[in-house]
Amino acid sequence: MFAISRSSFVVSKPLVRHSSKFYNSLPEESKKALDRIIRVDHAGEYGANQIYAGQMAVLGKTPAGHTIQHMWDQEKDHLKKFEELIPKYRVRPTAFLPLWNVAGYALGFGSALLGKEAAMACTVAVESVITEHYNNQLRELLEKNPEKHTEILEIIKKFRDDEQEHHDTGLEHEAEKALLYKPFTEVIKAGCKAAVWVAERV
Amino acid sequence: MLKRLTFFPKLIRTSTLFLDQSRFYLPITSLNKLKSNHANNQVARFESTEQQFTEEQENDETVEDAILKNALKFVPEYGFTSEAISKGAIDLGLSSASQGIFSKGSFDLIDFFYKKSNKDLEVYLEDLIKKAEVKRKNELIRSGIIFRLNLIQPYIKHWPQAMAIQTFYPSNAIVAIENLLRLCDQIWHQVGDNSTDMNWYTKRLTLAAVYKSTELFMIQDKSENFKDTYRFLDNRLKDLGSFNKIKSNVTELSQTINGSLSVLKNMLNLRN
Repeated sequence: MFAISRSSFVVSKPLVRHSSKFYNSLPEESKKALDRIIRVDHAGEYGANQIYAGQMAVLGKTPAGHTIQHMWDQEKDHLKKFEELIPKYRVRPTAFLPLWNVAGYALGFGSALLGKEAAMACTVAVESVITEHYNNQLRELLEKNPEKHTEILEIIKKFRDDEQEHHDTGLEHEAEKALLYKPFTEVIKAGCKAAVWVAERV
Repeated sequence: MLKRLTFFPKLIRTSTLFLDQSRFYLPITSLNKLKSNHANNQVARFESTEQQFTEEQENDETVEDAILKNALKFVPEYGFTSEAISKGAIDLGLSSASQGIFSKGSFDLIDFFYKKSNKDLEVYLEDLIKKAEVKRKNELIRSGIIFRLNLIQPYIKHWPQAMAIQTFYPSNAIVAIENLLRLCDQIWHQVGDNSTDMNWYTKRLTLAAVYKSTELFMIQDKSENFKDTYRFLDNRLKDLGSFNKIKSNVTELSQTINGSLSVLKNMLNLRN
């Protein structure tokens, strides 16, 4: 029974059993907010991973490859963290994971095909939306009872700083020299915001 | 999505408020208000219940829950009906009209029973895992389902009626489905589930299908000690194993697609 799930545990992640006591100890009013926050963050990190994977597929062997690989490795850590948080906080993962998979990869792959500058412009756009989004979440959690959410707050703060760093790295690598930089980033930003809106709900 | 839908039954609940005649006898949403009034010596009618109220307060239990919990004692006799609720209220020393605070009548009682049983299951599984007598995941799931089904058995005669009430009104059905999914999520959470992708959904939905079909079987089961039901459950769990085999074939297909993508990737890398 459950052959596939068991085999996938063996390959990727060891089974950790979470006591329901932890979930029950969370304040009732913030359970909903945490559910939404962790779901959208997981979806976001998953999408970001796919973007970098798509970029690496094209630019992996160019001089920019090293920089992208570094950012990708950080995103992998972020995703791993949220994958731990989902069972711990009893969060329902987003139902559109296959969509984020394809859309993220296509965005990374497509932008990288337009050249290194366009890929960096894409990174700048995505990371600026994510940084802003993390800041909003920090504000929301601090408004409620912050002493109950120290773990989540620490994680989001650290990830926010990482994303800000990626944003700055993108600018350092001549993102603004990309063709049609302004409209290009605006379109991606709008797309990211729409994705956040959907992932918060579904 | 389910969570967002729950506001809908509330709308219906308020609209039925005016239809419910017993409302006029007791136009107060919560008997807790009566409790505070009583403290101010404003309502003398509930004098005899003072002690019970203070007891409930210690357990952090609302009066509604106390009435419904007590009403369960009368379910084997009266079924999941408003009558059982009023019997429960009288038994607590309250007026029989206090059943009027439950605007949905019998569904409120069923809903309370469902949620209470889910909580009992949580405690049971927690205990079972702590004792570490049963270690394998599928055995834990099996004993969880059996424990949960056993909770229904005292009321088995009236459970078909309860199942009908749960699905009769769309507003009831939404709450009932949510309860069922909560139950399955509860089992998976405690048994241990790290899935963060589509497996999360398939696991819960297949478990819900197994539970619901076994429940349907149980209400018609005439065998001694529900032996046939447990055999039925074991067969369904076996089916689940073969379902997962099919699913793993589908996963292999996606791996093939991934493989062809990596070929494309390699071609591009060669060009660079």
